[in-house]
Amino acid sequence: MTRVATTVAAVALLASLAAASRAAAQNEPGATTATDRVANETQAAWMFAWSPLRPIADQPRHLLRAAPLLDLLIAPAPRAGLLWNAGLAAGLPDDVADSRTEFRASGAADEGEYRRPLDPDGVAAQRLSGLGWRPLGSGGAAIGSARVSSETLDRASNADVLEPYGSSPLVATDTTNPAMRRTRAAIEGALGWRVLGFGVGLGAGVEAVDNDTRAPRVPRLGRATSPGASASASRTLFGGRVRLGAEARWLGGNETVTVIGQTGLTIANQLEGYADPDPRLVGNSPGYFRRADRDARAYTGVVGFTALGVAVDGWASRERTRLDYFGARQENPPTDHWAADGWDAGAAARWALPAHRLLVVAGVRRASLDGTAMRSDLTGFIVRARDHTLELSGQARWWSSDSTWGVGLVAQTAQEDRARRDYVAEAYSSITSWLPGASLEVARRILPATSVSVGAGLGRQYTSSQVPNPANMGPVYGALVAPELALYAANASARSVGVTLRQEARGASWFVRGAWESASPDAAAAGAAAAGAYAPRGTRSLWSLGGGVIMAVGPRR
Amino acid sequence: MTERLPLAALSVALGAALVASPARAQQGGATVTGIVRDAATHAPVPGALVLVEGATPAARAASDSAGVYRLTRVPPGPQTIRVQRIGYAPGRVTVVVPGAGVLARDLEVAVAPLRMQRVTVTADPVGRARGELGTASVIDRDAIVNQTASSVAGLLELVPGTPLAPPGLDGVQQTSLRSVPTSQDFTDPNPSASRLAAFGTPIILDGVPISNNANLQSLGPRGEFLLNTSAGGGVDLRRLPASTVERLEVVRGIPSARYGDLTQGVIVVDTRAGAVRPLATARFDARTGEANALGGWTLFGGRQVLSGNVDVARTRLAPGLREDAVTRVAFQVAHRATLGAAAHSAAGGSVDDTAATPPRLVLDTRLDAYSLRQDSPERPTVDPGRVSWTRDYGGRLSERARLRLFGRTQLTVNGALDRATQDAFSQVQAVRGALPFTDLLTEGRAIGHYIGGPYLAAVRLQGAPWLAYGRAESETPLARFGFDQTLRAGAELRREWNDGPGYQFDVEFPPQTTFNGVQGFDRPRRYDAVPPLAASAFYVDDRLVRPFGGTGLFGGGSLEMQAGLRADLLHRGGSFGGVRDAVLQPRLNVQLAPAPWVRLRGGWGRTAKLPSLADLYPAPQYFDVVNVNWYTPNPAERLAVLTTSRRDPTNPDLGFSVATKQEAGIELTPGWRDAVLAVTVYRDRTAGAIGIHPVPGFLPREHYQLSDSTLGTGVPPTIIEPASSVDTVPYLLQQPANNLALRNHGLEATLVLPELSRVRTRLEVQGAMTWSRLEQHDLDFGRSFTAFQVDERIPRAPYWDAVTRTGQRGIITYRVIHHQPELGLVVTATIQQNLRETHHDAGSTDSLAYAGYITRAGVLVPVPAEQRANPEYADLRREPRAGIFLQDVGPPNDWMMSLQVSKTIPLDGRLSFYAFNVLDRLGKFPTGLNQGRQYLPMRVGLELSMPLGRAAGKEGGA
Repeated sequence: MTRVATTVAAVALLASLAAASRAAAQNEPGATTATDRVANETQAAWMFAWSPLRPIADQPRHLLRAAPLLDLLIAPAPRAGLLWNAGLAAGLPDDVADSRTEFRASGAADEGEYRRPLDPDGVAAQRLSGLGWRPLGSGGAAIGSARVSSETLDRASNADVLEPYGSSPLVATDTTNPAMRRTRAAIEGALGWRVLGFGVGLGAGVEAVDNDTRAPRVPRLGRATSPGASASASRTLFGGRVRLGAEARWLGGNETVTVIGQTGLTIANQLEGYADPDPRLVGNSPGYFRRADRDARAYTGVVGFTALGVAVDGWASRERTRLDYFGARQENPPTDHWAADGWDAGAAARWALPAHRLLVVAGVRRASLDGTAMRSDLTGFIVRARDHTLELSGQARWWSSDSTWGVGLVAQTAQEDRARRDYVAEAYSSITSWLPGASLEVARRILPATSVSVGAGLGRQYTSSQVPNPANMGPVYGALVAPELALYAANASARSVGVTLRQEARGASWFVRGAWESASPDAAAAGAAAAGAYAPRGTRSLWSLGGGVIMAVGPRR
Repeated sequence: MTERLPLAALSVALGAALVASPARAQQGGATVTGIVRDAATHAPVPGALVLVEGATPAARAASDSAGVYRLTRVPPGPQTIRVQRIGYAPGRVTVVVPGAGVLARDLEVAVAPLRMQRVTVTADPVGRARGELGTASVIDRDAIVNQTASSVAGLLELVPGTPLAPPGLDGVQQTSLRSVPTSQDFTDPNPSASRLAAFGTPIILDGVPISNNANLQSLGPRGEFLLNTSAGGGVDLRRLPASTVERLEVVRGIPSARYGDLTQGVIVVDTRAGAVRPLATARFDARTGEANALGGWTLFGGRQVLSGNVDVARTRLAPGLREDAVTRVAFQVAHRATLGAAAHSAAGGSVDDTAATPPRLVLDTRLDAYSLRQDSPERPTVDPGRVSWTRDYGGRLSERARLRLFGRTQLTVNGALDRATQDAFSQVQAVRGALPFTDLLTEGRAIGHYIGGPYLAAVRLQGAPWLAYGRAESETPLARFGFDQTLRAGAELRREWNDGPGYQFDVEFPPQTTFNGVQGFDRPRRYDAVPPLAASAFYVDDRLVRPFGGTGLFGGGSLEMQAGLRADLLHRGGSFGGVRDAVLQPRLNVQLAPAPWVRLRGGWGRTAKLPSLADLYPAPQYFDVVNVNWYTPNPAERLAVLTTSRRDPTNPDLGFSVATKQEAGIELTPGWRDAVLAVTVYRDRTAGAIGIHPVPGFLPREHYQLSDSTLGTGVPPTIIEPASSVDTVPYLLQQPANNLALRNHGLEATLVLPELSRVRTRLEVQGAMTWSRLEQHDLDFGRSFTAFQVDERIPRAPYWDAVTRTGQRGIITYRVIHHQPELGLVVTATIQQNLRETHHDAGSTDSLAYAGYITRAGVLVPVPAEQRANPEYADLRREPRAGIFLQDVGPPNDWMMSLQVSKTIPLDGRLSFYAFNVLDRLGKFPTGLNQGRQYLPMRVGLELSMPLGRAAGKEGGA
């Protein structure tokens, strides 16, 4: 039996080296903006799988990052179930038997030359957050999270919108490059009950961002709100060995930007793919106005089972997002549209081997998106985008018999295929990226109530690409689009290190965590940049320092 | 609705009372008993104070060692029972008390109020202000902590009909109950009752009014600078932090006779005092940051209580656009000493309710201070030269002595001295053509100067308003004629003055740009030369309660009446000698409860509002007539001769604004899981309110020939006496007069549905529809008068009857409240539905609408309607009347939503997330003639409250 278990563990571990769980692929909700590297922490993503605010049919492009550390001293061991793996609030009564409350405060700074044109030069952020879950009465449980952050952006780039690198190619920019201040607040929660043998869950949340210029000469006033809600139901069979669930989720909201320009100097460029947009002169009254309304829906089915000590949950989501863009406050109907349909499917497995003090989690996820952009003055599409992502990852945790030592290993890889066809510019791009990475963390208890962990992570980007020749395109393409595509098309690497200190005191765990991470293109790309091509250069470094307190109470039942 | 309706309701109520069961009052009422428990441990809590809010006579008791309390002779009907103890958040439950017998009701208190089974997030829909029978919204501390607000104005959102606004210190925050704006034209002098000193909702802070009567921070009706001050309207509520408020009583109906200087209800603010656990709170959003701390401690064995509160807040008014900001610092120190009774109880809480047995003498001392600064710094690259700021600093020392006399009579004496320093500055880059100018401060002719081109026009106003206030009131419980009675009689004195340096500016660069050669430039004025305002009042008020006997569905009701008479006197000068004006104000409220679950109410009364100091003693107005205007390229050769006239617009007959108010209502409280339905209709009319009366007159203008008009001499010419010709220039003197009337009527309703216990969610709906009509009983000279003034070729100009402006607004507010006591979680989604909101001007604009004409000698000549079409009046029909909206103008119906989520956190803390306009709805676009609606942008933030320690004394002890 032990041999079987060991064999299975080995297989799972090997699989995990080429696998990715949905949780590992997702970051904390709200991690979709250009400043996500500083605005979000590396909290274990499975703890936020239930979030009603997680993106739908949107695959933002991020700068390369190293594989995350497991945070052995902070994050609890990954769990299985409809809640933690598939994000169904209906799984709360079954999956939450303990109580946990944690508060964090952190600061981070991100800067460097290795960036895209619409990324800010430098970002600094301070953030407070809280997360908690607990059982509720008999047959109920609740989970919730709140966070607020303040970000300052030096030379925030030409982007008027919070997320210039989402799937939608319709991005508002202007010719100014001001310093900005962003205030971000989010709250979300979910409740689950057991009713007549079924699990019933409701989730709701909202994230709001205020995005204003600092010391403005050309004021740029932006704000965004993203409400989300979910409803789910679940059923367990055969004593909990089989789990079935379904969820409907909605994500709405809007983003508004107003630029009050200097007449004759400020120009707004509404990017609509690869064609150079008509420049719009922005005056001081009424200025430049742009608003995007979002309506996104996802319908998910989940099947889970437990066999041979392995808990497996698989899901499939049908997703749809529609964005309507307005060019003036009184403008109705909207001028531009973005519509995307997609699938998100995957599975995650968790295998605990108490005898070996080993926990293995592995997963696979496949997401695809087919989107089209339309302009009201043209018939047909102006841009068609097709994104496909395959993610595989796994992680393993091991603790020594006296819990003095602990080791955490993460291995992951992803393949991203992104294709864009611009029917106006008659241009086409296709970029395929392989993103392998791994991390290792070692923790040790150095005093009866004090532990420390050290970890390091790596990430790589290998690409093959076909992009338009900048010489055949316009100046706006050359300034704002070509460097971005060149960055995606260049091989690069990322590395990170992190140190965590944890102290048990007064019935709680107090921790301090520091991390450093950097990314840079390979030498060949840097050489091309030196030769004047649109190739990336330099490095991008992220520092973060934070601390917090965790109060956890064991299972009540 | 007609004016007879409230009177009819009163008649019904009185008639019912006459035929009601003649049970003796002393036999009425029920006993309410139960156990006070800790919400978390369910252990009995001894030493807790339990009382019936607003009951007259007071019903209160302390829980014994087993936590058992027993309230006797509790009046029938819906009553709010409050329980409090040091170290716990106060608890409050609403019960429907039968006419007789015993009602068992356990109560609970909790360290974390969100963990109690029932939380309050809205105003009490059927509560009564203390000692008041008129319609009121009572907002207690437990509702206040669930309302994200920076000032008292934010708390008023819980009153039916009040629009939602984000928390912060944006703009001057004034209020006027039961009235809505009658114009959206902000240049209109009569837009809204809240911005007119003639109407008022007084703020009574800890028993003493806050007054804006001596606020002179305004340039008057001729001023061109828009200053960000509350002068000329109601009190700026930003000076009162919400964090310092323990209880807010908004008396929307007819207040008792003890309240004066009002036309639009009264707001009674009790600040936090007494022994309370120290607490710190901080709030942050993209615009506003606020922090406050408070605590209260018992001293000297419980015979004295000292408490303090400090609040600091800052709102950036237009982040990303300008650096404008408002900063407020406010603090309060409260001290209470009790003599002749047992030591301070462990109950804690408000100083009004700290003991089950009132002591012989209670001395309450309050020291309040605040600083409110608004800065709009210069933006050199965008708008060079434009700078403005206002800085208000104020303090108040008040003392209240409550002495228990023979029998059960209590004498209360209030005294307060309130002083503020107000400083306002505004500067703009003015550009104008060359104008002849004089700075003569006396009447006569003088050589003037020329000003022109770009220059910095600036004005600074420095005021120092004072209020000295005193009141003595006796309160005697009686039992006569089958009624339990509470008889109050009192007298009050108030004196208000301003000893500030006044408004100042460089007379070479006056803060006016529309000088037309007649209107003249204003001159600096000292405020300490303005006489004081002195007023006194006497009142008597009797509250009568008569419970009915009986049982069954319609048994056990009651009849309550409150009748009062008040006399307000406005004295001449600053002394309390001669009487300039006096108003007698009878007031009556009646409530008939044929059964405990239904109440019929009605009220009628008169109220009066004092004139403000600015209206009583307006600034003199200067008119500068240009006799010679010789402008040459060489400044040395220029000559300007002007004749200055000074007119005093003081109106010696100016007196009170007088309002007549009526209301009727019904309240149903079936006792089914806190369900409530309350509906009130009202009508009030304020007559003789103070507006501006244009008094026509004329000035002789002499024209002179010049001795030598040759250019290049290097010296100015001289005038040749005598004048070669003389003509006349008409003018209008802006004189305060009792010429405004405001009519309001409307409907208010509150519906509280029972909680859906399975999902622990309930719905509360409140709404109000209000119509306001502002009439000016005067003349309107229109915009053509300016051209008529300066052009002697125009022999006459038309005038019209003044426009009557109306406003209508309907707002329904839905609050969906989800409460999970086990989680200590409350989610409140507030949806505001804006119904009809229109503005309409009642006035004619056709060519025959004029009422007459004014001659160049300032004579008014009416023209009969049947002659206005005659050819000899063709010149009067040439100018169409402009600037009024004959059709309904207003934004379309729309809705918006705000959200608040509050959660307990470890260490007895509390974390709240709030989002105003959480969906960031812009508001509907214009349709047809309607204006668009523009909601304020979404604003989100977090608030964190943490107890800092334990209160001294018996904190949490059993």
